[in-house]
Amino acid sequence: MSRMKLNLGPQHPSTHGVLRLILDVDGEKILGCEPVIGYLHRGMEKMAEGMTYLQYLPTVDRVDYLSGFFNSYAYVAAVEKLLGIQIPQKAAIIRVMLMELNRIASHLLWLGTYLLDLGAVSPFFYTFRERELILNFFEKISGQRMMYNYFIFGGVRSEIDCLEEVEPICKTVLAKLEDYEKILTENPIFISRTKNLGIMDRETAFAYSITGPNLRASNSHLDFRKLSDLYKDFEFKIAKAEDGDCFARYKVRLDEIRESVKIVLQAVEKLKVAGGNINTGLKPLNLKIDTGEAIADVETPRGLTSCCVKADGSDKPYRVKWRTGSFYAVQILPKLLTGHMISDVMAIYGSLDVMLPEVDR
Amino acid sequence: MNLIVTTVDYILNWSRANSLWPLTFATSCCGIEMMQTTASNNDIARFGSEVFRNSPRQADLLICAGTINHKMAPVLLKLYQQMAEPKYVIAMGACACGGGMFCNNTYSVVNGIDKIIPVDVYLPMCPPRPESLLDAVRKLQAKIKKESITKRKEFMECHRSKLSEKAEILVQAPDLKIVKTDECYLDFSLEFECKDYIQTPEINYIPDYNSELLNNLANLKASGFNILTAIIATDYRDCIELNYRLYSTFQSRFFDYKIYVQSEADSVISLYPSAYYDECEIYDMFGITFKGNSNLKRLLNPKSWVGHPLKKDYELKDERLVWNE
Repeated sequence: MSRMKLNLGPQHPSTHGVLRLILDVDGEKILGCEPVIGYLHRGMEKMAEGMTYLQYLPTVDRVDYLSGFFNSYAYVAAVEKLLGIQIPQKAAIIRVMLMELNRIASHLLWLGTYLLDLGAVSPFFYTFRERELILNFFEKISGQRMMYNYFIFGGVRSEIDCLEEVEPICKTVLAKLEDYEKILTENPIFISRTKNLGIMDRETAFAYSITGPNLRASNSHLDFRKLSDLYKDFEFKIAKAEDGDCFARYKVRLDEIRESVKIVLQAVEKLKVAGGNINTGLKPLNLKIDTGEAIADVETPRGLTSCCVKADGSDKPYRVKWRTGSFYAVQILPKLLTGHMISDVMAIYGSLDVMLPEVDR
Repeated sequence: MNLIVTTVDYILNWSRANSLWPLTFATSCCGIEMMQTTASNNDIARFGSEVFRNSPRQADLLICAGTINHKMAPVLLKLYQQMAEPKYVIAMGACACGGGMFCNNTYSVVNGIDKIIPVDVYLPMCPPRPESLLDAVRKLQAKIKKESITKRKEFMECHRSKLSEKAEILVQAPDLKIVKTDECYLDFSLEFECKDYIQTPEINYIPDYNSELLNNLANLKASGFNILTAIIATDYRDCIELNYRLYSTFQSRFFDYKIYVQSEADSVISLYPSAYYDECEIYDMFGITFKGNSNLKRLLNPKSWVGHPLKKDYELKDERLVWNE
């Protein structure tokens, strides 16, 4: 009898943050698992109640620091709904372009670190090299590499004056993506470590509220971008796979990068001819909002993020709630891990692309 | 005698400063910049610090990259204690230096890791650029090169007693919020013995379809609303609103189903298993119990936390945790 409890985390290099798993193992085999979260709980929902609408704006980037634009968008869009303002067309296109570039950066980071977890070190250097191109562009327009604080109520903060840099970035990413696929997609070690592992069928994914690439790898079409007004002028396919295993999730993310590049290029074309303002000129200082509530949804690299803002007439939000994709992806871990080996834990966990700040908030 | 000591110092410091092995300890945003520092564009290997160790026992530099909250604080202390001497600490990012953005209006963040462990180099910014981290490593190297083995010994002995005092505070004082949070970090046997493994929520509750909530949600589910995206709770002082936000993949639309409760609601995990975490979070933040959810626990805050932070009458205390006194 070699049954025992195995503690994994919260300080573990492969959890990319501070997740703790209490594994119930028999030898190498996992009989059960209990995730313990909250090691990065920063009380972001409570913070909002003590800050004005504008003061809270920079902090929302930290909800998920790998996709700051998405969180900014969710919060800003919810406040805009409450105010009942329409953003200028040009600002909407800029938002789409930046969010899709951010999606590419986020997926690149996922790819590098996932392979690092599986034992392949060099892809980490490759993907970080390409990610740096995108971050440099973000830095030029917003002044920050990760926490952009670039979207404001009613539009975006400033004009983009280095638009010509976007197309070369897209070309590089597409070219390098083929290199990654050459290294990985038919790599026998990678395949044997990810195929038929951690299989999640569609109904389970629905029941556990899984969204984003994890759901689309389980043979579903659900992509909240297709419901959004923001994306209605853009053409893109929904990346999808059928197997629901770790390899399918890898395929979906790589395909999503391609689709995102398409959207970015379309946005660049639109921006070249777009005129007009980039924001409505709303003065956000001492902004007071009448009683009401609004929820904004956005499809982030990790699934559906909803930001619910409730106003009570004062200059501070009455309540802000974040619904994030990773929160539910952690919940399904016990179901996916049970029955597998200890060495598969990180292969399965990594394939879900869980970001802990998003889980704990 | 002095000549020998300074010569030994010189050799030791030279070798220590040029082979600082950091621990892979990243809690949040700054961790990503730390990863970028190791990647090809910035290449921390130029300064002899590329060997990131996964075990604290093999590391001699703790780069605390990110926010430390009350639940994580005992872990940080434990990790620091496990590191072999000589050991150095870089507090990376505004959060680690002094709470950063999260030092006000929140209840769970430790305002600076120097309340827990001694810090050698402070590196503010939110988050610091990779170049800044390289600069911090260089500054630490310069500091190490000025050290003397005799003084280092005194410093460590002084701190060792302080740290063990802090570890005692962790166990003894039950009124400190952080206390007992994760006693298992001080004594791993505690948690593992105390109870058998908790199964993930199975459907252990036969839904009572007479109750309105379950009945209505069951009808909604039957009509195609197959995803419960979230339960959004709001405290309106006289009651608490629960908004069950459903999504239908057939009709491609959301549906908000709202109920108002005082302190108890029916659990819906039999219909939507994803509600388990939502219900635990609401129990943690608002103190609502869910009839039928037998494994309700504090999800985000430590187990011994007092109060329910998202309730409107919850008081944010400024004194926080007072390790040093």
